[in-house]
Formats: sequence, structure tokens, C-alpha cells
Amino acid sequence: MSSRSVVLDAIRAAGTISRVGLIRATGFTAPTISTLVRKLINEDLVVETGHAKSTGGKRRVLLQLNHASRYAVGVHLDHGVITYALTNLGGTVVARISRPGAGAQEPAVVVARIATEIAALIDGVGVERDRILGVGLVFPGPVNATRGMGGPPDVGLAPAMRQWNGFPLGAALEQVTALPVALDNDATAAASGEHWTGGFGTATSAAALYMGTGIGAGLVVNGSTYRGPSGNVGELGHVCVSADGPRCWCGARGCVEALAGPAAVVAAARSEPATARAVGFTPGVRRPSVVADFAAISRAARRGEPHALALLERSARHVGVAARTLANLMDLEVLVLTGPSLATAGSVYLPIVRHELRACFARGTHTVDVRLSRSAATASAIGAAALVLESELVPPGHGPRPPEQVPGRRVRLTESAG
Amino acid sequence: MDDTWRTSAVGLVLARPPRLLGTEPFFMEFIAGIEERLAAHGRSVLLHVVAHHDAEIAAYRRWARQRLVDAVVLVNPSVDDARPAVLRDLRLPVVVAGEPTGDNPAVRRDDAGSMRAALAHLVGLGHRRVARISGPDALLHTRTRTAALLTAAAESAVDAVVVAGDYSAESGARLTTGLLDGPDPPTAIIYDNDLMAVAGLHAVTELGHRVPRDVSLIAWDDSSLCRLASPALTTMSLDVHSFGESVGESVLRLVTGESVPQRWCATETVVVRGTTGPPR
Repeated sequence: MSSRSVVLDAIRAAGTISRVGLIRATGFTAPTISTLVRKLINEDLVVETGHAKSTGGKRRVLLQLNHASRYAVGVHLDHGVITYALTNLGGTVVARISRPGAGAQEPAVVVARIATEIAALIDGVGVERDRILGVGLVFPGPVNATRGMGGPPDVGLAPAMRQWNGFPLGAALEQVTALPVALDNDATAAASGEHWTGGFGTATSAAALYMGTGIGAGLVVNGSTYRGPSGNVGELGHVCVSADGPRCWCGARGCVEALAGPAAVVAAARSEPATARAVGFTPGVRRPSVVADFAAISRAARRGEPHALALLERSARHVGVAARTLANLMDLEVLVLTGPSLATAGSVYLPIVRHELRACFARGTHTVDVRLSRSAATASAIGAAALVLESELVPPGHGPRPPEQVPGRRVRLTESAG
Repeated sequence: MDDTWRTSAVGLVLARPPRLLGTEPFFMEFIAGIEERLAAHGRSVLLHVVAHHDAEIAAYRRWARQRLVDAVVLVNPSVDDARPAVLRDLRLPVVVAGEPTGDNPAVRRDDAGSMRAALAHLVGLGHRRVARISGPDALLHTRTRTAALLTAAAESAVDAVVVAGDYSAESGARLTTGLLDGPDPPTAIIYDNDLMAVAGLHAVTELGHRVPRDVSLIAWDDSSLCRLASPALTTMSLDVHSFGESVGESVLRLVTGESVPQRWCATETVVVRGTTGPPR
């Protein structure tokens, strides 16, 4: 298992690589590489893809992952919307659909619906069942010991997801889909997906700041996603930015999510008649989710509505302060802004968060690179699919290396045939 | 609630070369607009990304056989387009985003009027040598924009050249460098999307030129990328989200059997930011 996945990971991270390049990248002997590569080609996971540029002597055959050989399904389960992404072996999105959220429905009913929607997605792409490696399912909360959603024991999950407390989500979905299911927190998954697709570059300390319905963060340290002992890592939404601030649903005071999260911004917009009119909120008529309402505010700000823009800028300053705390604790080099709410409002938040991080403690040594994710709207579902790919492609005990970081890539570029 | 979306999804296939990884900001915003209209009726957009039109047609055949979608949004209508005839044979209802094909209902953009507005802005600043880095030449709206640019340039006695890119950042950078290194470099460049314009801006800076002092740039498809560039890019302001909403509205009428009027997006206007100014 492990030598096979070491070779697969080296091929994936390099993009294209020769057998000689693999020997240098992995340290395995030539006969071992030859055998493993033959097996991977027989399994259809790797294909030969032409020759390296000749520098005299025998031209080398290049290998690459066969992206269309296997697929993974990522599911982001949330109150307002369930987003599905089907990716190929390389992590590229091949199909995507958003369906109505879990709402107040019974977990078992929602799980049955997820299974039929996954089946329809697979049919729609025309992939045979045996090419699907598994399902990654992510949600706004930590994974608990019974492979369900957890949260602080006295309050449990965020109000919208309370009926999921104690439901054995992983086992239930495995039973109805007959596919292996991997679970994770949605913000953590967004960070994993960012790492998998190269969004963090070669940083040793990187984070994804996730904004959907709430606020969270995922951490990638030394190339590995950090999950902590209980999956309660990166609860950025519950960083205190005002000791005397309002009470948060989690029970504490002054959490940035309570003061400045999407739900707080939407509530503020609804409570000011001029802003509500400018945004297009009609009293009594609600969009399906906080995220959709927040997107309407973002679009109003983009049109130049001053009230909408002021609300977002105020929120961004609070989020920036929380992000500075995260940067100071983690000595962050890269912070990627992601999630559906930052897909629409990212151009307002990015300059403000960037400005706030200029004041981080490490500024004498390095800056913090703040960027927008290239796939902010679907980040968690893509990250969920990446969970499945990781379990297939990455050696146990290693973190996945981002593209262009491993020696194989350099070997290929400078390789001589001599 | 239905058990699956088999009776409530609208299909959208995006055919793009594999090296254009993912989907550009334009399509995610466009799909969000369609979804905004459909979600209120429990309907969704099934996005499928494929490498070329043959795979796109195979997807339509599969969806028709499985009855997986009840309508299709056809994007990027192109020259000698085989897709409309296939969709008609499959009896899949179609809304075209762009110039109409056959008698399918369409949501049109005023590409000619928008291109004239872009050129008028540059001419007003005093530019007389203008280049455009376009999208793929096989797309109908690329040709419409090209014809509008060349006609308007001739009327204003402006030299205009068009080079075809493929919407990728790589082509934007490469073609920008080629134009500026060539004889008679343009004093202004118009780009057909945001990714090529942002890459073009970087390429100009790397060549040691200043924007807009040495060369003015106009991007298309206003997105976060344009607003966050430094300097922020002057862009043509298509409201991509409301383009998507109009398509969603047409789809809803189509699937409920109502008559579907042809819709037009508002003509785009120039949002002046930091990348356009008078030529030196």
C-alpha cells in the first residue's frame, strides 16, 4: 500500500514525470519503480503521455495521473443548501449542483435524499460506479466520536443544525450509498481543498478563512491539515473581538460571528429600512438561506449602494481583527479567503483583511499573503472530494504535497538523459 | 419534496480545454444568477465541465435518455454549431445565453453596442492605435464584437488590430507581450474577459511599462479580479448575475410551457477605474 501511494503521490504532485525522475523523487530502486509503475498502469491510474525533451541519448517516457480513471464525490451539507461536486482524480470539478438545504428535516430523510442525489450526479456524468472512490461529506461543526456532527456539549451545534446532534451520519450515508464515506468540518475541508489544488503554495503555515452561514478557519501546517485531538480546530468565528459584546449562540460573549458574521450582517440590513430597500429585501419574503441574503447585500454594495457597502466594511474590519489573532497565533504566511459568502463579498473583505494583517506581529520578518480562493463558492464540496482523493493517493502519515513542490517537478525540468 | 432532481434540474455544459482548470469567475456568477431564480421553485442547475463539444453532445444524449434534466442552457453559441440540431432531435428544451440559434429562445447581450462604448471611451481619451485580445474566434459573440470594433474604428479613423486569445491568463500575458514588443505598439488594449486582462496588466508591468501612462487597458466581465487588481482595472460592466437571472427567468417560463420572450441584457457601460487615461 504505502510504496504504491508514495509513487502515486509523486506523480500527482509532479504533473508529469519520467521513471528516472520517480527514482530520484522517491528514493526507490529502478526495479521497484518499474514494477510499481507497471501495476499502476494496469490499474489504469497512470498513463504514459509522450516523451521528455531530448537532450541527447534515449528519450524518456513521461508518466502522469490518468485523471479520468477515478472520481470522488464531495458533499457540503448545510442548513440552507447542499452543494455537490464530482471531481476527477486530479481534483478538477467535473460536475456541480446545489440542492435545497437540510432545513428542519429529519436527518434520515436528508441522508436518503443525499444518496439519490449522489446517484443522479454520477449518472449525469456517465461514470461507472466502480470508478467512484468514495464520498466526502462535510458540515458546519466538528466530527464527533460516533462519526456524526458534534459541538459544545451544553449547546451542541449551531441552532440551524441541532437535529443532527447524535445522528450517526457517516454510517447512515455509507449504508444507503454503498460507498466509503469520509467526514470533516466544512472550513477544514475548504483548507484541505485549497492545499490540494496548490492555493497555499509552499507555505509551512497556511489557513483558509471560511465564510458561509458562519465563520470558520482551516489550518494546514507543514503540508498537513491540522485537525487537533477533537476536530475543534480553527473555530475563528468564536474568537472574541469585544469582551462586552453580544451573546453568541455558543454561549460566550463578543464572538466575531455574533458581531460580524453573515447572519449578523443580514439582520442589520433588515433592521434598517433604507438598507433593506436598497438591497431588495421585502418584509416577510425570505431567501432560502443566510448565504443568499448576504449575497444580495454584496451585490448591492457592488452596485455602489453606500449603506450595504458600509455594513460589509464594518464586518470586514471585525473579521480582519480576528484574522490578525489567527495570524499571530500561527505565524501564518498565507491566508486564503473562501466560502460562498466570500465568493460574493471577497472584493470588499480582501483589502480590509489585508490591511489589518499588515499589523501582525511577525511583520518584521515576513508579510502575510492574503488571497481570494479561485473556487470560493464550491470550496467545501471540492475539499470534501479531496478528502477521498487524499485517502487514495497520499501515503499514510504524510500530508499531501502541493503541486510543484516535490523534487520530481524540478527533476523533470532539469533532467538530462545522460 | 421530490426524491431526486430528475424532474427539477436544468443542465449547463461548459466545454473547455482541460488546461483551463476549473471555471472562471464569470460562469460561477452567471450560474449563481440562474440558481437565484430557480431555487425559489425548487429547481437547480446541473453544471458539467467537459473538454470539447463532442463530449458536450454525448452529455445531452445521456441526459435525454435518463430524463435527468428538463431543459438545457446553451452557452457560447459558435460558428457551425452542431449542438442546436442535436438538442432539437433529443427534444430537450433550450434557452440560449447569447445570440439565438434556430428558433430557440435567447437572452442576448448587446455585444456590438458595448464594444462601441469601449472604443468611444478610448477615442475620447485621444487613443488612435487600439488593439483587442479577443476570446476564441469560433464564438459568435467574439465575431460580433470584432465586426463592431473594426467598423467603429474605421469611422473614427483609429487603427485597430484584433488577436485571438482563448480566455486563459496564459494567452492574455503572451499576446500582450507580443503586441507591446511589436512594431507600432498600441496605446490601448481591450480584453474580452477578466482573466486575460489581469494577466495582461502583469505582463505590461513586467515589461517595465506603466499603466495607464504608457498603455491603457480595458477588461470585460467585471469581477472581483478586476476590482482587486493594482491599479484596479477599467472594465465593461456586464451585470453577470442579472444576465444569469434573466436566463433563469426564461428557463422557468420554458419548462412551465409559457411563451418565452427574447430578452436583452442592458448595453454595458465603461466603469472607469485606474487603467485608462490619455496616451502619452
